[in-house]
Amino acid sequence: MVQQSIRLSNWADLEQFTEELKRTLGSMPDLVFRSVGASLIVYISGLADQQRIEREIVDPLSANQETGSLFIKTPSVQMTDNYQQTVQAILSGMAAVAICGKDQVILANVAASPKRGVSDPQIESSILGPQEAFLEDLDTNIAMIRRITKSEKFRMKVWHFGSVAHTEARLLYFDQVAPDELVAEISKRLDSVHLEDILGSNYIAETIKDRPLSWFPTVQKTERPDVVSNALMKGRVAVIVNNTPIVLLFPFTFWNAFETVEDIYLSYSSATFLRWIRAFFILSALLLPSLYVAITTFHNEMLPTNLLLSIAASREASPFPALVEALIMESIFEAIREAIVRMPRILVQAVSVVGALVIGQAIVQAGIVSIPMIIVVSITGIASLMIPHYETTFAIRILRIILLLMAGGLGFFGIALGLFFTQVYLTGLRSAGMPYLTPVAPFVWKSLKNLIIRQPFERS
Amino acid sequence: MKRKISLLVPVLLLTVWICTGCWDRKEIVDVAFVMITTLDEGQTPGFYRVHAHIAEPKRIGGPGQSSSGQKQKEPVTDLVTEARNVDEARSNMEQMLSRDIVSSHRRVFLIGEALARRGIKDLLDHISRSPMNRISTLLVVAENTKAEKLIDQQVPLENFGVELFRELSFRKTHLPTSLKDYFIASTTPGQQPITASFATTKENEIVLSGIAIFRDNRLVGFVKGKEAVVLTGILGGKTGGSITIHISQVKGDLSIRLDRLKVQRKVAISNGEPKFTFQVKAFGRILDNRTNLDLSNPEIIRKLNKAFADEMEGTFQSLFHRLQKDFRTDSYGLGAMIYKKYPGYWKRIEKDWPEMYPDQTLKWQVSAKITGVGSIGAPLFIPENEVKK
Repeated sequence: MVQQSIRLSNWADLEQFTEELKRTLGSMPDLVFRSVGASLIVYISGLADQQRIEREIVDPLSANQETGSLFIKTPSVQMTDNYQQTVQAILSGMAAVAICGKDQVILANVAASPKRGVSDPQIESSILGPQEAFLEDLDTNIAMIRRITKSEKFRMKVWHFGSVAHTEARLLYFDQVAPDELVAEISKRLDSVHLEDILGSNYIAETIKDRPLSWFPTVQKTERPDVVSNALMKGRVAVIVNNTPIVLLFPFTFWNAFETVEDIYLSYSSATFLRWIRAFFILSALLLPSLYVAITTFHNEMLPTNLLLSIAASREASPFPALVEALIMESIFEAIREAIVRMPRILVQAVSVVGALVIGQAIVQAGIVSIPMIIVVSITGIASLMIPHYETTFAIRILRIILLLMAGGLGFFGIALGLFFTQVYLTGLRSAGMPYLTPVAPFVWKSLKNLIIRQPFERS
Repeated sequence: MKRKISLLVPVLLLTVWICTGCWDRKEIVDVAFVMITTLDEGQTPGFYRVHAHIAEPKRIGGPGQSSSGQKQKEPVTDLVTEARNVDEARSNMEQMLSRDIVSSHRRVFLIGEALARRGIKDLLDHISRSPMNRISTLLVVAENTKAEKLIDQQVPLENFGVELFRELSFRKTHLPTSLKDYFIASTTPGQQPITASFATTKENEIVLSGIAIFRDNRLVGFVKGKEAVVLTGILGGKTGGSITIHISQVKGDLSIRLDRLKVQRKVAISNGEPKFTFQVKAFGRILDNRTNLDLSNPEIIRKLNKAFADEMEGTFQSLFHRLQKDFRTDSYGLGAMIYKKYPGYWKRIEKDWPEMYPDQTLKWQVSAKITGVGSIGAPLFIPENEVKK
């Protein structure tokens, strides 16, 4: 990149400046050149607020052409003589004011790009908590966080990535609350990011998280400012990227995936109750199909005789072994689940009726799959929808299929083997240096207490 | 190196799964569940006649399909074979079925009286040895009939006949005589096993008729009626029997429902002879008053307690008379009492115990308590002046 300096000493220089810009950016219809007397204002019409330009820049300039003391009213300005910086500024929505005779260009921040208003969270909803979610605009997001955590300890470190998209990323933490090693570690990782095109925070997440190939998420993604504030106050760090409403939180343990933000907005008994139900159902989301297949094919002594004969009666009609039935129903359920996410909102009602009732009912009546299998898969499906953290659901779903295969081949022993390997794997996984199964694996009783029962808040 | 290990793990798992997996896999639809097995003497001498009831899931029809109002036949198939021993019988049956026999859900083993009198020693090992069998299977005896006749009957209220045997043993006596109990009793020195016994009434209904007494793995007789109730009670089981008592100079009698027997038993050796003392406290409720006594009067209750205790003592005496003199079998476990308290002494008399046992005298100290008389004192239909207070 050529570090060009801008010279504006006379009219010819101004012309040259204009030509340079047109050559660099192309003669685009939204690249506006506005002359006011001996001054030139350059901006991109979609990104800069034209009314503000009129009010804050053009009016003062044109009013004071005669007097010679030229000024503009824009509160946030930068001065530069660097060509690249000027081009970047124009592309970011600033207006470049080149005044003939001055040796520096004024970059006035009048950016007002189109953006959405603050809306409800899409993925992480809560009943009793705030209903705000992040936007795509970095400054607005930071403002939202600042508004909640009005702390003087709030710190930010800035990175810019990519020569094409020029995405800004910031590392947020509370000074002296977040461990220094954590901040240093994440900073080091962000320093080593060399991606050219950052289209979302996930690019950065994949690059800086531990074990990017792991199925289990090692970084938390959230769209809620209260979650981020809560995390920051607890000593975690956040990475926020421009143009993405998803903020990354480090470190992330396995148990964070099963906490919802609702836990702190409910009383301790309700929150604890929900935690236990969630834990039980998540376990069944992982194990229920495998247990059913294992028990009915390998260990049918475990069932009470009446239940067993009921199941046997339902299974008489179906030609497939239990494992195959399970795999068929699991794939159908996953297909329905993904389809409902992707389809246009209007069709959701109709298709879910088709999916759930018709397919489920018809399959049973055709005698392809037995009724107990449908029950098992439905409960499993609902249980897997209970997982609050979206990325963990994928790990659980993949593991479930693998455990299903192990159960179909080796019964309880297969499930035990699968769980054992998973356990070993999870214990060795780390997230930003913290072991994944803290506080269970390195046993920290204080945090574990809070995990089992959400402790009542201290009263002074 | 790490990459090699991380590739090795899934490959090993896959190998384990493909080469060795599935050997135990039995689909439910390829399996036949035996519900109950009955054993009788065979037509050929020296042979057993074995029946097995195999459950038919198709006829159960699965959940949600109720019967059409009429009493349906039990959804089982009856297989019968004659063989020299139980394992041969099993093998014969395997060759009659399209599915593999699974006996892990068989919960009752029914033995006919004739066979039981001959001796059941040869039947017992098979049941406990095969890992598929449960040691909690109930062992019951069919009294006065061949076992196969007993299971032919239609059973009220339950889907399967085997439920009747099980529920009767569990709910009514709380002394389910499973194989485990049988084995414990037969290996405890100084005790002989017992089982429940079932019979058919004249109207062809199955009834829990009493307790079968075994000695040396041979059936020697049955204890029935009140004595069976009392034996169950002192062995720690549930009683529900009806005891009839009456007081002298009062017309009519009362029925007491026996709730519980609290037994404290003591054994002492004096002059080289064992002395047994039983302190029994009987609890019961009066639920049928056929006299005109006013039961809310504590004096009357006191008299009734005494009559109750006397009646109980009489029953105990007659029970042990039967056990000692008629059957000469130590079913309660008097020998076991000696063994547990005086092992040295027991070692000396062990061989002679079967002869000593019938001559033992037991001291009974029976007290009784009537814990309730229902909701009313005197019968409601008797006019006030005739009630005996």
